[in-house]
Amino acid sequence: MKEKISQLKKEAIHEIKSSDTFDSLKKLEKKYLGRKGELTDVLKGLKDLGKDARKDAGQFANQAKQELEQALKETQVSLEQVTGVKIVTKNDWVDVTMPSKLSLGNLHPLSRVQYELEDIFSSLGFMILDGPELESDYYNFESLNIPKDHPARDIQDTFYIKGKKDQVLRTHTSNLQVRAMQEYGAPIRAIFPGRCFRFDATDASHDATFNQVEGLMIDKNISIANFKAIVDSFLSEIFNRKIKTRLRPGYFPFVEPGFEVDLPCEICKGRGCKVCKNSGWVEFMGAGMVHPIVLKNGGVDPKKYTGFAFGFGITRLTMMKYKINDIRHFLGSDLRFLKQF
Amino acid sequence: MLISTNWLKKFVNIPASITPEKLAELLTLSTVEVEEVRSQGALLNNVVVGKVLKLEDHPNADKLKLAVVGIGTKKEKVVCGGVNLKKGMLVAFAKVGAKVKWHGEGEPVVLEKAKIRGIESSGMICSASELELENIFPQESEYHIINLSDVKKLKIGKSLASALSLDDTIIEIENKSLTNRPDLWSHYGLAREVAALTGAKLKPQTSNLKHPTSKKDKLIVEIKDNQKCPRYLGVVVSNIKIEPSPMWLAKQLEAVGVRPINNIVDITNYVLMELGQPLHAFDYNNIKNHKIIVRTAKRGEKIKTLDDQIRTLDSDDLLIADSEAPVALAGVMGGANSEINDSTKKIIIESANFEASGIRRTETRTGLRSEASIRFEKALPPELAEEGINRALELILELIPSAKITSSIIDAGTYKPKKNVITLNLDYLNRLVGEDIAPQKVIQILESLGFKTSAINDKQLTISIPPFRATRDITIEEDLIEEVARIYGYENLKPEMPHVKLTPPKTNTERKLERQIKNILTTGFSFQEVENYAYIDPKIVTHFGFKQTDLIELENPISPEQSHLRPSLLINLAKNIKDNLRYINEFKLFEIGRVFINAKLRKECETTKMRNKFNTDLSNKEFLPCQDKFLSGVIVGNNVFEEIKSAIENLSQEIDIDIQLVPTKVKVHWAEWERLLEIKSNNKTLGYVSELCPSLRTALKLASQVGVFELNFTELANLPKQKTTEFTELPIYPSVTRDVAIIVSQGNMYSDIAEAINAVSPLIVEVELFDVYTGKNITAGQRSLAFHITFRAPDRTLEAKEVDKIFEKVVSKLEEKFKAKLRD
Repeated sequence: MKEKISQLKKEAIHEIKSSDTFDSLKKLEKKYLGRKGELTDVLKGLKDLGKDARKDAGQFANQAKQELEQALKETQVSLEQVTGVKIVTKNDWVDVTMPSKLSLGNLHPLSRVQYELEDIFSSLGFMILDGPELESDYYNFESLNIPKDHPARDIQDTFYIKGKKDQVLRTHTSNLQVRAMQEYGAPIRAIFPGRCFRFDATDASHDATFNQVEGLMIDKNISIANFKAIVDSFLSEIFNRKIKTRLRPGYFPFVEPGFEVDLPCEICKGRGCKVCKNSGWVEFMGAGMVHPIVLKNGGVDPKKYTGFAFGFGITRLTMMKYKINDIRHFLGSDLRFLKQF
Repeated sequence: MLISTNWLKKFVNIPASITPEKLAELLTLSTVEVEEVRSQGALLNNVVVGKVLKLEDHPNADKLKLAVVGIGTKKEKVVCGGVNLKKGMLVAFAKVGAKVKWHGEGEPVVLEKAKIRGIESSGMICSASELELENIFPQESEYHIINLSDVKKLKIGKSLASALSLDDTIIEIENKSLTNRPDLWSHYGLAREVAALTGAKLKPQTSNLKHPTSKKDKLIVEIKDNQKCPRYLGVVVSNIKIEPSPMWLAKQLEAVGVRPINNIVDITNYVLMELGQPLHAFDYNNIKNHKIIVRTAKRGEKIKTLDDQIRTLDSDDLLIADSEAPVALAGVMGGANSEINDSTKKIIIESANFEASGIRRTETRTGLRSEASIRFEKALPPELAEEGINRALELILELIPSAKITSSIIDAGTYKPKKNVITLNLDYLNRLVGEDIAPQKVIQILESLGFKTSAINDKQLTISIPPFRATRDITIEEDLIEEVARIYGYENLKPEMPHVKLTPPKTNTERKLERQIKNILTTGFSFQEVENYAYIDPKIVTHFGFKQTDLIELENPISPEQSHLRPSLLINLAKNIKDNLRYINEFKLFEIGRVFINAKLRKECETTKMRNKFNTDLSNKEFLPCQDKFLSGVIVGNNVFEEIKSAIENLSQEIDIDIQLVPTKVKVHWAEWERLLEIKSNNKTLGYVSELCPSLRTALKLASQVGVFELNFTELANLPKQKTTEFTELPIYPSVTRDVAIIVSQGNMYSDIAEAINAVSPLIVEVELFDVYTGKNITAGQRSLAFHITFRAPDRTLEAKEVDKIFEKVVSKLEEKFKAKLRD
């Protein structure tokens, strides 16, 4: 018996010492010391021996078992030293489903959508420009061919600055049209995203503060056909589907001809529903060919250059994109809203 | 504006293939926006004329009756609650399947068989509001049903729509899309568009009115302000009998939403709707001396208008007056004192032209807008006044056989017909549209819209502008190009990408930096971006160290709590903290946005102006207030100061701008002075990092500690880029590290100590603080700081002796400068 154990021990220790991976070490542990392991089997066979022999062989077998365990441990440690890897043992259990510490903040949804727009227009060669929110009457109205007493001022209910007859909170980002032309001349391609203000009663779909983007492209021979191509291509990018817009006449004093640009209604796919008042189309933006008076005000020669301008609501686009049903969430600064984007 | 297709058909034969819906689409695509198309009898399918044959009480309800209604060959039994229901009465009967508005409200619903208090009812005897017929059958109460007994020639069982000739289709046009088209505020004007769009012929306006020459009644018109009133036509009509208009006229007006009043008022409204010319009828006897004076008001002069309001006027308002008093607010509304009434026998018809911007100013001042003024403010042609008065006289003579024109038509004013001619360059047209449109097509389109064309050569046309388009609408070549393009059809233009030079856009460094900062703060430091309103409540600004005089005030704020523009982002951020603390205990917020400060108070604005070209006026005569963008952030939670400081320091690392955080004694109103750092670059103060001071937290009732930073983003973005990234060779020779732990009194700043160590020798390449300790074994008021000091030479391996020597110097310098004791 003793001899058998001794032989087994010798083989086992040799195998353990020459083992060079954690995997084989684990297998050896199972092979000798597992529930059906070879040494375990021997120990099980002890019960058939006589009392004294059992005691003697038992002591011997136990010692062999300890030697094997020692060898396993030593080999494991030396393997760890060689590879630099620490092995997870049974007591180091990790609950892999524990919640992670999430620590990212979020951009405001209006910023997210604005940056998407900026990237699309940058890729088309448009500059991104910025300008004053508290604006002179000249740049907000006069320079855009909207003189005082013009009926178009009706549509744009304006916040005026106390004690300053000629200062307003800009009603659109079109205030940058003439500024941009004066600064950069022609040809020019630029968009102006930003905040606008209208004296408007607040409800779920109207707010006195909202974000808009205005675009301007002036060059030799820019045409309505060009506008159609550009507008369809950037709207397709924005909505991530093929968009074919519909142009119809619209009146804005700073363009001539002027258009309203309609999108096919996404809710009913053009078949007609409540949202689009059964027309299949949703009004999306105003646009047109830059009025020669506006070009002149910007120092651009209307005989040499033509161009288009367009403008639409970033706020409205963001509402469409994320299906936000109440505009008042945007400036409410409620983290329960902001954390969703 | 409501347009009746039946009315349009009087002027243009709309091809049968063009349904009202198709017409609406054509108009929308080429002319004006159509909001809705509705047929008058929309709710009247399955509604017929019925006769009440039998009437009994309902066995289970006091207020209900059981009626048997004959509808031709059939009879129906219904339950009805109409208080005016009588046996033998002719009624509007809705059969099962008809649509009705329940109690006259909400969306129409389909009528079904129903048991009402146990008795079966198949159909319904309707009230006017249940069928949207209140205009034709004014309703006494919701319990009154329509009584058709007085309507002539009704056949029982016949459809109600045809019985009442409700066969019109109404097109509702969005008024805003008509802003620039005075000619389209009328059926005749719209008929002209329809003719151009469908290829049908527009019937010319013909009048068989003989020009009156009678001098029987005196009428004098004197215009004192020819600029505000270029033309005034007036005429006297006698033997008038005021009575209700005939059915056709009343129905035609109702169809377009005008309430019939009496024959004369209805005729003026009819001409308004047909031609777009506002008219007014005065009672001849109420005009003193029969003299009409068109003059501006005296400042403070009063007039009681037809709506019984007394209006106080400005010297810019135009009046129609007699020799004693004003009788009308010109072009806006008549006066109560000269109104016609049931006993009026003799009238003056006014058909005048008033200058548009004057009318608009009066509208704005008085807040009064009428069907007349909304047309005048769009600039009507003086020629239309003549057409209007002729049409009115024609209708009066037709409707009131006794009426006689008893004066000539007075035509006052300095108006003279003008020739309006524009040269249209066909090459330019094609260039702007982006498509070659054949000259013949151009000519055909313009002629169909009433323009006269003649060719100069094969590239140029001379276009005569008709008066109805010449006031404001068509003044330049581009206006004509729009006419051609919209009728040609925008949908027929082939999209084509522009051919331009491929130039990369100039980078907007300010925008780029803004985006970079937003990304770092959100993804790097878990800040949440917010956007707040630009307005604030002036009452709370003192808490933040501002005076009301620093602020910019709105002339017309939405509410007193939103009356001033924000001078700092912190004001609204503080409110955000309070609002969000209701749901969450720890969070970080930031905002980038413009703040507004009264220019007079900020000298720096001069430099802002120089720097940012966007902040000056074209002529530079105007000076916009300072409106730099600021960047502010707040942290609510634990260790707020350390966290916010580390966020700013990391941020500055990332954006390549050399920023220092420097302790300061400056008084910052919102800041905790013991924990305050100035954000500086190139000796320029950009802002501060601190905590919200306890007194402000008390005032705002904020229990939590709040870390705050605030800096001028516009200044930051316009600093010269100081940092450039350049590779440094990796060290060739090994370094040696020594540790030193010292005990110093509190008040000695880490930054000073580290700098002192660094300055001892150029061979010291790094000083790293690895432990700070207070507590056991350290005297109160002192702390222990431990540093790793790394030594290295660029050209050799350092020897221990050399390092020891420098280390000794370090120790003695610390002992000498900071009274430091070495810790064992």
